[in-house]
Parts: sequence; C-alpha cells; structure tokens
Amino acid sequence: MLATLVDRAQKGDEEAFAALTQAVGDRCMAIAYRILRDAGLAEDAVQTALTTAWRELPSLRDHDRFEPWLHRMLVNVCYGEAKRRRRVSANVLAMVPDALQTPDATLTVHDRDQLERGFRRLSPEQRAVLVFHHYLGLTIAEVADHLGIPLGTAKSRVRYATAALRGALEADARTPVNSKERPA
Amino acid sequence: MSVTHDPDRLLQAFLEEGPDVMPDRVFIAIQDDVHRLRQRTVRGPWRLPTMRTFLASAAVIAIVVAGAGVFFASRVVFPPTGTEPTASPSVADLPEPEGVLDPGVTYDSGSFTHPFAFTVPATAGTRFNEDIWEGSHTLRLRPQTGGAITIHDGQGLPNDLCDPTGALPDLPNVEEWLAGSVGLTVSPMVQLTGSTLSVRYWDIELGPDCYAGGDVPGSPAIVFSTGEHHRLYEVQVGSDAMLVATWGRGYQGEGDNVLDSLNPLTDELVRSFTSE
Repeated sequence: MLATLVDRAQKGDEEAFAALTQAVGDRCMAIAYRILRDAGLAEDAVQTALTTAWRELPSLRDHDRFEPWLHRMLVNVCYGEAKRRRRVSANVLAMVPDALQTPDATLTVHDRDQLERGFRRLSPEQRAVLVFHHYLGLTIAEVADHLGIPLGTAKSRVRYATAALRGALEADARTPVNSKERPA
Repeated sequence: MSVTHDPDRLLQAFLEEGPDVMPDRVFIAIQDDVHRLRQRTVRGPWRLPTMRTFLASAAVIAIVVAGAGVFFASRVVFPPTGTEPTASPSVADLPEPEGVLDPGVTYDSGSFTHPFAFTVPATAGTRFNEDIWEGSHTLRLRPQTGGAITIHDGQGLPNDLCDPTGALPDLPNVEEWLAGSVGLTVSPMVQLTGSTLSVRYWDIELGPDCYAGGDVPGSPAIVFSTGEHHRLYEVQVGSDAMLVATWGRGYQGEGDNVLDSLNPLTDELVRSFTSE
C-alpha cells in the first residue's frame, strides 16, 4: 500500500503524497517531539522533513524503504533544530506543559522531572537511538538501519544514553531531594 | 497509584508521554509546500542504457558533426596558426570500463550515484572484471599484479566491519564506522596528498573474533573476514563520499603480501579520481 503511494508520488502525484503524509505524519510527529522535547520545533521538523521528502522522492530507489529513508531525513532535520535551539534557552520552560499532556501513572512528577533533565543532557544523536529503540520498539540493528549508522555506533549510543539516564535517576535517589520517601 | 523504580520502565513511560498526532495545520502547510515546490529531477545514469543505444547515438552525432564539418569547411577560411587548439575531453568522450583497461587511459565510472572519472595508473596493467553488484554501486578492478580494488558509492556496505549483521543504505562517516566496529586494529588516519578530491585512508586488520563465514542478512557488497588486512579510503565527492577498499588475502585466496604493491597502486588510482 505504502509502496504504491510512494510510486505514484515519485511521479509527481500530489494526492498520493498527501495520502502518504497522512499515513506517516503521526509517527513522524511522535519521533520529532521525543527527540526535540518541544512541540513547536517538532512540527517545524516534520514539515521540513516531509517537504524535503517530496522534493527528493525521485531519487529514492527502493520504494519499500520509504519510511527508513524518511526517518533518516527527519532525524537529520531534528539534529539541526536541536542545534539551533541550544541558542534559545527560553524554550526549555515551554516544553514542560507538553510533556504533561498525557501523564503516565508509572511516573511520579519527580521521576518525570529527573528524566526530562537527564534526557536534555543527552546529545540529539543519543536521544534519537533511545526513541527508536525504546519508543518505536525497534531492535538495535533496525535502529542502525533507520538512522543510517553502523551497528556498533547504534549499540554504543544506546548503551551510553541508557547508562546516563539511569545514572541521573540513581544519583537523584541518593540526594536529599528524594527524602520524601523517608519516614518523616 | 503504583510506582516503579525500574529505570527501563520509567524511560519507556516517559517516552510514551507527549503528542503523537500531526496537527492539521502541519498537514496543510506541507500540502502548500508540495504544491509550490517542484520535485528534483534525477539525472539519468552517466552510462547510457545499452551499448546499442550508445553506438546508435554516437553514429548519429558523428554523421551530423561530419556533415557540418564538410558544410563549413567549404565556406570558412581559417587563419593560419602556429599550434592546433587542444580540446579538453568531455565526460561523453571517456570510455567505459570493460574488459582490459589500458594504463594511462581515463575511464568514466559507469552508472554510479556520484559519477567520477579515474585513470589507470601508468605503472601497471589493470584488468577490469565486469562485476558490478548492487545495481551498479560497486566497481571492481583487478590489477594484473594481484589482489583487487573495489570502489563503492556507499550503498549496501556492511553495518559493522567486524561483525556484519546487515547492510547500510549509505556510507557512514568512515572514522565512526571503524571506531564502532569493535575487533579491528586500525592505523592512524592518513590524508592522501596529490588528489583533487579530499581523500583519507586507514589500514585495518580484522581481529580473531571478527566474522569468519556464513551468510550475512542483507547481502552486503563486501564482507571482510578474520585475519584479513585492507586499506579503506574515504573519497569525498561533492557533499557525499565513496569508499575504496583493497583486497589481498580476502580476494580469491590470494595472500595479503600483494598489498605491498597493491596499496601504493591504489593510492595512485585514487589520486586520479575527478568528479564533475
């Protein structure tokens, strides 16, 4: 189904590309938001990636690889957005309400805050592997394929990023901030 | 409310939060862009589709040029000059690499993603075996002095050089690729001088725990084996890169001792690369 739409869109069919956009847009939005942690930037990234995909679509040789191809493009756009965002520190506060839109009972507010801080300390490349591995549920080999990076690089990025987040949570557990769990 | 302290579960729950629907305004903005922007035109392969088509086109061009020459020669008187003008050869004039390649001759790259031209080193005869795999993304040259040189436009290379489990869609940053392939012994990077393109290379040795046979999913264009030595070149072509690899023991059982002569020969070959 997707390959048929890609084939038609590759020949300049705008309606087919609109259908493709509907089919893959939500997932792109989810990925971009989770890498950038900012809904506005994520929207910009999705628009840029899909517009670029339209322009570059004739160069895609294997129609079955449209999504990995698009994801790689999206992630590269996210890297660029993330670099630009570093210069706009005010955005940091604007992200918290987005993150609380659908709170998960598993997370305490405190855990969420620590994870948010830990996540922000990761590079965009490390965030991307975590999103593809833990959120999309891809294997490390699939993550490497989608991101166009060597398997060893994907493995090391997942390992480092996971360790860094665990460290953030565990370090926090040893600080007085977590003392609410102690008897009063 | 149940609270977990399993970091993986917390991370997963954390990532589950947040928007996962593309807003309509983004969809509309994309459609506006699509309507406004034209798709990029993909240039056809440098190599013409068939030799028959090529010869037919060449014959037509030759007849037109010859006819025009005869027509104008009867009307135009050229002023006497001391030297004949030298025409620089265009891409279309270059021969394609087929059969035996002659030393000193410049060939085009065929239908590579990033077309380039190369000149066979004048110091050694080079035989080209018509192996172009993966939809014309690999060119293999076999010097008569032994071993092989493979040139790749980046597609279908193994995701890990020591422990391949699949193929990559594009050539990664080679330095990062080597660093991520645990089990290799890698020489310091060398910047190749005397080339019009930016070229750097590494000599690698595959350690005892590296790949030792069996099918690799995705059928990468190259697979190295434990104990082998290779020289890997990263050649910058425009904004992208190609990979060149030398093969001694890994090529039909020949010994790695051929690399002593093959690597300098490949240096010379890579120096000759030119791109549009």
